[in-house]
Amino acid sequence: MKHFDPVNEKAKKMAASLSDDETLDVVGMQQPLGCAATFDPGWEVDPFGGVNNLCQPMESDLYGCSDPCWWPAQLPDTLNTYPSWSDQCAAVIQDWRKLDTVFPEIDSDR
Amino acid sequence: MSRMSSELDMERTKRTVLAVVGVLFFMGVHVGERDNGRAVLREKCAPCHRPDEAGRLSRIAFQRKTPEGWHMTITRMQRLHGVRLAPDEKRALIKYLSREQGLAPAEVKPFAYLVERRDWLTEAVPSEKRRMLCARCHSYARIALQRRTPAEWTRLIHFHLGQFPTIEYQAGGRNIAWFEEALKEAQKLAREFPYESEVWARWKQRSHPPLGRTFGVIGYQPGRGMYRGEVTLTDLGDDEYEETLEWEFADGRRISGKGRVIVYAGYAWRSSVKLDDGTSIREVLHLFDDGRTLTGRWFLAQHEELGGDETLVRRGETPRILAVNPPAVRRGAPPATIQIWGMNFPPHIRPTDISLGEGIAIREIVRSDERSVVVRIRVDERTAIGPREVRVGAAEARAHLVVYDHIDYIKIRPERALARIGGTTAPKQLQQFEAIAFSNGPDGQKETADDLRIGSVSVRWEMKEFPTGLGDRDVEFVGSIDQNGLFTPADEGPNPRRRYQTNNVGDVWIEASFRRSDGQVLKARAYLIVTVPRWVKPPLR
Repeated sequence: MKHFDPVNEKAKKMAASLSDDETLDVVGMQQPLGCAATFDPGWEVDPFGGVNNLCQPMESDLYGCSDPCWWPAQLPDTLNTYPSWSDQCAAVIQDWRKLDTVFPEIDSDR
Repeated sequence: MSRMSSELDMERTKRTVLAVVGVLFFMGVHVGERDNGRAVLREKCAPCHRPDEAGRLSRIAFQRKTPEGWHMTITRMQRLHGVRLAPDEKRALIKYLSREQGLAPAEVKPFAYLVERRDWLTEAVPSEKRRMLCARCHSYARIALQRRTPAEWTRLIHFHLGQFPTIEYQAGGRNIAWFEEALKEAQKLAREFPYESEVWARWKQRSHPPLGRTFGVIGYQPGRGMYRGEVTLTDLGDDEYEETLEWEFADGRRISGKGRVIVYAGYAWRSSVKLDDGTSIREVLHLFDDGRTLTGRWFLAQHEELGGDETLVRRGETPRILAVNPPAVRRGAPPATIQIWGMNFPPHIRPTDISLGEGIAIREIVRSDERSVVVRIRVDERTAIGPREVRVGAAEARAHLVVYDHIDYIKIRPERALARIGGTTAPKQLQQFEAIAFSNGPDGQKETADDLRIGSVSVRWEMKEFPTGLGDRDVEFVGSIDQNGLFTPADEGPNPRRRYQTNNVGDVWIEASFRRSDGQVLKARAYLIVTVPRWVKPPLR
């Protein structure tokens, strides 16, 4: 890039977003403990190890994930395990605040 | 119909008999929790898990797992199959199963990181196939912390298909015939993680004496530094203890707390402690090697990602060194003060009782007591760099003090990290970063085996874009990092300010800049993923 000057809009954006000393490390296919990287597009991370290819915003298709138990280890599946998880939240894009974590810790359990 | 109802009657009669037996059992003069656990198993589990000719309950008797593993299994039975258990019954059952069908310390050790909730780690999975079959959704440690018979490993695969029926076409429709391949993998798992093991047989037969009364503590909390302290236990019987802890950080800050410990299977310490500032913490420790030292991690009850590494050493009669603070000193630096932390140090320690190795002169003993010696030292500017053995009289154990020349580079820990937006439906998952300084060591080369770890240094923290596309501006949305290295993610929910109302997720560089005494600035980077919440939060993920 050192010997090139951007002339059009796209090239200027590229030059601005990637400075010369910046190299992109390869981080693909690596995921922290217990993250689901697959079942397209992945829950926490996408198959390339980033978040760009996740469904966004996730609320827009949340029940497309929970109803057919697509990521049952991360998201309550309403098919079998937590059938009433989303009962209070008919329109998720507005009512997402009514959702709750499952498997909350109980002090006496410890 | 009548035959069915007579069978039902018989079943009821059997249950009544069992219940009566259970009641009689509880009426004994002294019924320990060991017997309680067995009674609960018989009363609450055996009606469905019928015993075979040898009295082994179906499914249950052919698996071994951690206390957390049993906790999750029993919770599933409560949620899905309506088992009713009082909290003390559940506790007795987990204790009983962890003792009778638990894991040996050696079986837990390689995967203890999961029980210790080190969720930011990227783990090594032995094969790509196993990663695809199991570790795409779970941590691999969750699988590797179970022992089952071949039939039980197979049933685990069947369970997945029964409980999550879409798994076959979701997983299989991509790049692997999940069900067939998982069944084959189950047989490999049965060989690698078999129900019968010599280490467990030996451990189970051992008698487990009470843990002891007092322990010396050495810990390290990223973002706050080293601490030392003391833990005192009061034996409550049935593997339970009341715990009192006192910590003192290197900067003099003190914390105390009180709580309760359960020690599972003679070595697995799980405590719940309330600190005097109102914070609730959990400790997950294991008595792994010498029968005297417990190692593990503590974390905040509400934020498992925040906590520290901890070692507890049972107090004996003899003096013992636990740690040196700071762990490294620069050669040729002006006289400095170091603290040697330990236990049972004799009174009236003289400079000649202490040895810090070649090139380190002891100027004076500033003060000493039974748990610490504070020494003023001077490190010769010509002495060789490298670790030195620290000795106090005839004290057991050694610690090392590193002599270095200068800081050559810094690294961020962790180098890959994960945070989750939240704050409304689920707590945010934060990430504590720290910068560790290193010297290149005697060979002058960076990142070789002889490099010297100097310890954490204070740096300037910044967030930089990790460019993954044109106009990528994640740094404006994902959250913020403070000057102590703590990253706090932004709120959850669709963000109308972002294109497509994208959540505040993204991937960014975390950059640390350290200004050396000669003015040169050293930099390091870590890669941080800020992602969506997780709503299923069992103890092991």
